Amino acid sequence: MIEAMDIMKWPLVACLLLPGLLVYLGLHIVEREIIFVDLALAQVAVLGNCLAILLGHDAHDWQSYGWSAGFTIVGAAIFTLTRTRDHRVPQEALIGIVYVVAAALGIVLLSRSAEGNEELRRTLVGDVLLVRPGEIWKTVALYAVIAAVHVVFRRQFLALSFGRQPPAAARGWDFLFYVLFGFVVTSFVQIGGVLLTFSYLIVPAVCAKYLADSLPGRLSVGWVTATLASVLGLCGSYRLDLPTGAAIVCALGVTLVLSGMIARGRA
Amino acid sequence: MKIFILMSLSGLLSVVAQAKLNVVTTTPDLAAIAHEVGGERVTVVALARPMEDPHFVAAKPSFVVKLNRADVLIEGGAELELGWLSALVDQTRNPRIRPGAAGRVAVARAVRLLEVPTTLDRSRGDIHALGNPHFMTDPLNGRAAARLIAEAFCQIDPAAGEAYRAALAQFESRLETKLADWEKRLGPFRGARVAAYHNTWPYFAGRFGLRSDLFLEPKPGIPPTPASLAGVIAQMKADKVRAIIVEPYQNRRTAEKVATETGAVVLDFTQYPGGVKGTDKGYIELIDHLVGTLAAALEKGRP
Amino acid sequence: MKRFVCCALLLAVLPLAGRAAEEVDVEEIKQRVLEELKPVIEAEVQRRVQEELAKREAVGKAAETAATTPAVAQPGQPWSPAQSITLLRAGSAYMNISFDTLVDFGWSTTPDVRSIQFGDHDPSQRGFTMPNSEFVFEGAVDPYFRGLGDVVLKLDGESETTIELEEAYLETTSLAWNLQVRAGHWFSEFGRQNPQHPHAWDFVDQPLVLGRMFGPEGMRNPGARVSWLLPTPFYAELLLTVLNGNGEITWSFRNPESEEFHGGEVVDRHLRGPQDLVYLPRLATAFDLSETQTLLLGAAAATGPNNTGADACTQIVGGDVTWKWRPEDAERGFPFVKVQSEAMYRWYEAAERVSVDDPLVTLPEETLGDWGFYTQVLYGFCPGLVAGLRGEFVSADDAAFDSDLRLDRTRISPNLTWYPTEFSKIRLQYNYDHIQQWGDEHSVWMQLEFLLGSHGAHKF
Repeated sequence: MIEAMDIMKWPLVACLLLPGLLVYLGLHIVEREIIFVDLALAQVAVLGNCLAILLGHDAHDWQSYGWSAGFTIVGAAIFTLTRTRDHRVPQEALIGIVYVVAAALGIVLLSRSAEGNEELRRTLVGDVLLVRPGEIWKTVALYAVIAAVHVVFRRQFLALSFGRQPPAAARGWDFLFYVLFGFVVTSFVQIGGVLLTFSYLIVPAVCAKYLADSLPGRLSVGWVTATLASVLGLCGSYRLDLPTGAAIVCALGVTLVLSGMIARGRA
Repeated sequence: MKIFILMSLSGLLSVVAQAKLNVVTTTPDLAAIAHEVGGERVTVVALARPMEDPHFVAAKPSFVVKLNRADVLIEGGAELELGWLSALVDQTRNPRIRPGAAGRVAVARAVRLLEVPTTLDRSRGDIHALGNPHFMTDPLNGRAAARLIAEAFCQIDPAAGEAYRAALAQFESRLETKLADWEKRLGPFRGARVAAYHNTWPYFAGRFGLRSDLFLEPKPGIPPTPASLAGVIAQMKADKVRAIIVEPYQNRRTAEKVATETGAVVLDFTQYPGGVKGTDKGYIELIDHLVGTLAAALEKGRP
Repeated sequence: MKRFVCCALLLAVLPLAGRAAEEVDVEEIKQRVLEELKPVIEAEVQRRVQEELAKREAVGKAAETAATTPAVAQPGQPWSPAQSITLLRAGSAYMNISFDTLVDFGWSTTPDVRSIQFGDHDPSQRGFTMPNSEFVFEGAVDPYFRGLGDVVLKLDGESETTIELEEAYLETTSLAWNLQVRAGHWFSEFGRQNPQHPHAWDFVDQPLVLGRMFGPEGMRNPGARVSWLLPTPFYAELLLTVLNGNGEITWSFRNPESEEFHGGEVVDRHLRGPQDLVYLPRLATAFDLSETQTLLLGAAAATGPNNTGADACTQIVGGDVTWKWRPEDAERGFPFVKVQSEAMYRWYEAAERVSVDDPLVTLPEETLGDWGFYTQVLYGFCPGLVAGLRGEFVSADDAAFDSDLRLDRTRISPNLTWYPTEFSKIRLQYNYDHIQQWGDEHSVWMQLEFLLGSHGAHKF
């Protein structure tokens, strides 16, 4: 048990502290029905990273982060401008297109650089087992600031996603939402990879939608689901010697099935 | 395989982390001594700059960060840092340097303070309640400080106790040799009177048999007025005072004016290594520079 | 018979003779006794004189000892009864007690000074004002906490005294994980100026934008705050304050006087749950640009319910930037340059409400937007002398109710301060006030301040 804690301590801390904000943002995303925006934003940020590597910077330099952040903001602008009430072209299609084009551009850029491929692979798969405490605290600090913005402006953000009447200057608030979302997603992708990020965003939110109606209720269900799945996944990964990220995703899948069964039972 | 890599990485990290002790001192003279005693096993940072007035240090927020990471805080302890240190320490969330903790070293404990006031009254200027806090100008007080600091280091980092004690012994022997030399150089001037801008030098003067009781400031912290300067000039002429001691943050022009009136020479002194050119190598080198400059000035003035 | 007479005569004479002899004897005896007692008396006199002398010497010595006993206990020395137990010395006493007073004197072109000087600690009338006399008690409560209390006395326009508890809080000094918790009642940490005590202000009066957002008394309320020092190489601190939000001192929230700027009847609002508290997050950072320059950046926001309706809420955001320069060999801290600027914006959701002026009119649901900023530059050009200049602007969007508190205003204030020591100051300031619809007002104010006792150091 002690050696388990030694190895699993920091992954456990990361999985308990960080998904909280992801679950909340997941509720927004699921409500807006733009499930793949997180994948698209993560890919756009990676494109920024690729460009930085091509320009000769190291993947962990501040210039890299700068390029990545800049591209995230551009991506957020694109999604703001394409959010129309016009349902001829679903926004999801445009998001998919952005994702694919960004991925292709990334491959094209990295074909001209030596270490780019490793970087690309790492982003996709990630490994929460090797997370460092410094990374965790910096991400917690960033999430605290973003959560504070969401608390202060909860009226406007909730009206955007859940309300019928959008707030004044809706485009501006939309843009801010996507920018902050982009930062949250790209920082978690650095720790856990795209698959784990996507799972934490969507699965607890869907479970919450099955089991609760009010926002506080959905948040509670979402947080409980995420915590349970994290602990189960980490334990399973240690006991059965499985890759950690994949184990957590599977655990999340299990909770989704359970929630569906409970909801069906109640109906 | 991954687990093995992780464990060896964390083992390496912990070894590296234990190597250096994080020492923060309030003034650069204590930093120089901590460096002598600690050597390679410590990283030393001084909060006040060498040319800065220690009574008026600007307590920047970056000090909060430095103190938060510190294992040891070394302060004078004679209320020189009164205006800025305790409010800072309250914000640092660091239990290792709380008053009374092992990592909090107040050097004044090891030293006997001079000029302890018997009444406290701000109409007498900005006086220090515990006595004159500029005690590090006496090299024997510097030795006492080094002993106290070495003791603190040994208590917090017992593994390196041998190294600290060896470094202390080396420092002490160097100091004793130089002390004999300094006493020889200033011996011929026993009883000579020197003027100073502020009452920083009683310990230095006391060690070498000089008199430092004439100040350009009428009261501590109060700038000189024409009337007070006239009085000082008269006294300097009467006692044939040859030297006026001024520190980097004090008004040199006032001292130069008095010097031209009396034929004395203005000496650039500093309490801290690095405050004046030629003093940045360390504590012993600082005292050496001060003794040399003073001896040269008093020699020139000899009839 | 003859024998009897002789005996009788003899007997009669005997006493006479005896008396004579007695008289002679008494004298003789007296003399003799005196002779005998003389040495004894002399010895006694000698002894008493010695005793008196010794007593006088002892008193003299005691006076001498008392004169050389230090006034305060020295580190490591035994305490002597001649020394008092120090309550009032910073750094190593039970607590710091200080008393600080401001006195304002001046003139304004408008007789109703209160209408242009909105702050409670500003000069409030032509002539003399005593806006602030504060007692501050501060010290370590025990190894775990530090406490502070701040009581302020003010004299109003009719020289009546008001007393106010400005601050009273408890703060932890060494929690784990670089956290710090504070609970009580204190000036909220929103921006740089709101948490400052009036005697530490760089100008005689409070900036217009703070008056607009936080009211005349600054924002403060009972609450709790947790703050986290981030593990970054530069100073960065995240704070989250939670306040009750009730009263005039939270001007933009559940403020019973809020009808002054939205014009409608106020609604009684009680806390229904944690969503009805006021939340105030803040991020404060500082960067040492060089040995002599420091840059401080901060952002803060406040959100909470207001009392125009059951679901109405207010949001305020603000940012602040400060730049300081001071050379290494500054004489007593001079020369220095300090530039500070703060900007704020407020969204005030006003629900449908009945107008206070005319009960038949219902004011519509709207969001009132107010904003403003100030910039001040201070130049300490000579030891003890500081020249300052402040420019400020506040504005508001149009609303159904025309409030005097929401007019566009511009103000420019140059000033000069002389600090004989850190414990006293004399300041002269000129205000040029341009108010939309009212025109220009000019005021000249002089301020004196003194500090008694020991006061903790102010934040950088």
